[in-house]
Amino acid sequence: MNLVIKIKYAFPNSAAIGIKPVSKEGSQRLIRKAIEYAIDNNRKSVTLVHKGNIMKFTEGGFKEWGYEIAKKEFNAKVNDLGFYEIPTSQKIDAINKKIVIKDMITDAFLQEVLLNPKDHDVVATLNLNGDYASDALAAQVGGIGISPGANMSDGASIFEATHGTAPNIAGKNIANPSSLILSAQMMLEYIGWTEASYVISGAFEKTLKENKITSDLASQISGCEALSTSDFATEIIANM
Amino acid sequence: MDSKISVPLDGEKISINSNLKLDVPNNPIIPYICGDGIGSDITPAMQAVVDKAIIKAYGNNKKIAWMEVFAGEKATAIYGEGVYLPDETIDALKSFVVSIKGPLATPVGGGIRSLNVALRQSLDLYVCLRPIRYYQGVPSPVKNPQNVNMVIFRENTEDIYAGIEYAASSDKAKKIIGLLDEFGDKNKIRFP
Repeated sequence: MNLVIKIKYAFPNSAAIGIKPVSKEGSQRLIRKAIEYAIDNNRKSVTLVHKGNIMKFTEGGFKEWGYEIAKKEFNAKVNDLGFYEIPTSQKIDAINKKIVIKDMITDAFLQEVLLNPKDHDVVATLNLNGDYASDALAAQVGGIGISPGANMSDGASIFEATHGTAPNIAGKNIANPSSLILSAQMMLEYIGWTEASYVISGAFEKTLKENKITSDLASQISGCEALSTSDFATEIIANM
Repeated sequence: MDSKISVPLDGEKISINSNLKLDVPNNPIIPYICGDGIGSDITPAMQAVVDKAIIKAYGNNKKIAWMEVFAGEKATAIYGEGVYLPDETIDALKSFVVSIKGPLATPVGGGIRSLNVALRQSLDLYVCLRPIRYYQGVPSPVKNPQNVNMVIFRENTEDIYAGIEYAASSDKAKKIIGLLDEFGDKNKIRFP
């Protein structure tokens, strides 16, 4: 769809066609959530990831509308280095005085998260980019099968396991429950039960550090004995 | 039809106040979907961990009242053949505000592309939130996985995932190509 080579001959009648709608409202409500999250959780920056160099109006629009809302609703200003910054001084317990708003082309972003992952914090991106980036990053931290997730709106939010149903091991009490447990931990944080959320993350970290884990990860660690699903949960509880 | 959902008597609803913030009681009702496949293995494990963490943090002052709602295979067993996502499940997820779900299989055949997509669309779940960080002890393919600590906000309703796609040589694709011809853009399509 994005080929722009002018050619004299064309046989286009047999092409499959896909349409890519990207709206200002749709982009801004997503980016607003990301900026609010960055402010609420004392994060350092928000990166708008897009392919606007090629898809100028859809992905390029996402970027433009992102900066627009940062300026209009969050009072973003350009600093000495040419970056947009949002002041967080209105927030009492702000650790970072400013949150940087920046953007990056998707392909460069996928290189950067491997080479300089510390440069990126909160990321706001379009549907397809986000699909690629979240799976690639999950793999980078060994997190396929343990990464948590949530789907949210202005009303309902659903926290969810990010992996599949693994029917071949269903009912055997050997599956790794980490993704769902960490999603529940996010959920507790979301409803403001921060202390309970900390109890889970602390106990989870301790359990993994001790190499107490289900077979999917245990099989990758030499000399590590696999725990069942329920024993793994019991071990987390014991570490609280 | 009678409701298949039994609402816990010892819980209260989470609500959204006028500032679009959550009002959370000490005994919130949280709907959960067990999920297909390993869903029935991991869901009880998750609940055990959550319940214990809450006791650890708050003693008996706070407690989740879990409420099972149904989707996927389990829903078809309870509501009847082909009912993978009952209306009352969608209603409950909406009205109880915060919920949690295990994995759902994509039904073979039938009109539903994916239950997850159907849920996203019916509840307008426009944010897909994915925090990515490293946990020590987890095997990783890179040298310094601990340097990754990102939170991805993925737009969840637009882009080419909107599902506006037409097969090669279909009437609709040909019509769109005809429109591109009117715009003078037809020659941008390179291959037959």
